[in-house]
Amino acid sequence: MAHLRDDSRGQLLLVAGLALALVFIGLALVVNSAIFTENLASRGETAGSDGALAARAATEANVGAAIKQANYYDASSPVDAFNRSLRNVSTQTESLSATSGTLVNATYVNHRSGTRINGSIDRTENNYTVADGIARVPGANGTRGLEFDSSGLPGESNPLVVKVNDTAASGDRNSWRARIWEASGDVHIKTLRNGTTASENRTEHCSVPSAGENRIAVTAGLVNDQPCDALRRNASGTNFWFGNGVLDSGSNYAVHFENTNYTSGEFEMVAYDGGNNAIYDTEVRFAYDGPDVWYNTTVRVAPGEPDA
Amino acid sequence: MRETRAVSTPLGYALTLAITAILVTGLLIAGTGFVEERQESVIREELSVIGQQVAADFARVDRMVMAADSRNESLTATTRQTFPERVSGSSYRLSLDPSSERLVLTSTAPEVRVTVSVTNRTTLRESTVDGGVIEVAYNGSSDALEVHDG
Repeated sequence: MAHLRDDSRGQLLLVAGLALALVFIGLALVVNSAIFTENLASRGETAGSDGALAARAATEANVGAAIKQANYYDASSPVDAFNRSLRNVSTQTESLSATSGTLVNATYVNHRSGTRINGSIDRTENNYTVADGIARVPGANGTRGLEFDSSGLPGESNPLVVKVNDTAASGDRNSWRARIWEASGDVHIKTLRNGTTASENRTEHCSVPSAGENRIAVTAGLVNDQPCDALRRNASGTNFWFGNGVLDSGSNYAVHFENTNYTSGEFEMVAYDGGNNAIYDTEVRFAYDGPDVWYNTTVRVAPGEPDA
Repeated sequence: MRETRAVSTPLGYALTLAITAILVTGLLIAGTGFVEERQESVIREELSVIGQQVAADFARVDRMVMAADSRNESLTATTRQTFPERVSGSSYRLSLDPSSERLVLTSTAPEVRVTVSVTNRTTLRESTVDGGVIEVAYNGSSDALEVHDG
């Protein structure tokens, strides 16, 4: 007969129970990790890169407005006026960002001068050249902010024509023409893009409901603040942005208006043609320092410039 | 018959012990195996989630680089995110493989390897970091995106 003492019985079960308890603790730790993984997977944008891009876009819009104001009010020294506005833009953006614990700063780097041309669309001559010898800036157009504000657009038989052509080319060869007229409560734009040969010619048409005062932003591709295919890319991807395809050999181009005697209203534009009474474009340094995101870059601002 | 008397009690006791030991050992082996299997599975899940978070950071920095009008030394774009230093008790490393455009995450014990693809337009630069605070940054001198310890 076995002689087991009472206090040594059940040891095997005790040790086994402890070992199993350890296994369960391990399992609990693993489950804990799994729960944390779920938590990590549902974590959204924590760093705030969206905030950096939003601040950059806001700075670009504000700097664009500062350029417009400087060109409009301070033709004698637009750069000084622009710098004063830029300091305000930087201070105000910084104050707004301070509430979210970020630092935003915008400082002037450099600019390119151009000519601001504005006035009545209707002049003595029915057809005239608005600007000549416009050069493309690297990666961009060379004309920006071309806008018509008109309460009296012509009919289809005598449309207002904006013609852009290579100064080295003759006739309609290498030209971009936009015909603008009003009919049946709509503003119509028909763009004709002539290439070097007839097979390269393309046309596109769009119409937008009229307003009391029609605002046609030719270079920005907007009619009464609505996008117009004939001044942008059409559905098949063909580029109809202002002046696209006119420069064959990299020379300069000219902008002409035709049938202006049938149109009432004002126009405005800035051209990169060697003049210096306005700012064509500017470069500012944008710095964004957040708790978990740092973004420091230069931003080129040229309001109302068509996509290249 | 007299010498076989009182044998059944110790025999029964020994058999009980043996069967109990076998059952408990089986239970422990099965339990440990189950926990190890779960641990590996959880590590795989966690590395995959961390990899996807870092890949999302790459997309964010890539977007900031593409939105910038400057490159090289005049551009800084960095995001930082804090991840656990260990996954289910195991440390891990995250490597960026530019040739296959993938992030490779490897835990040490048990060794589990997970790959997550990165979609970007900026070029990538080979780099490796340990788990914990991970920064995804644009490197101006090499005009490429990389990871480094935060």
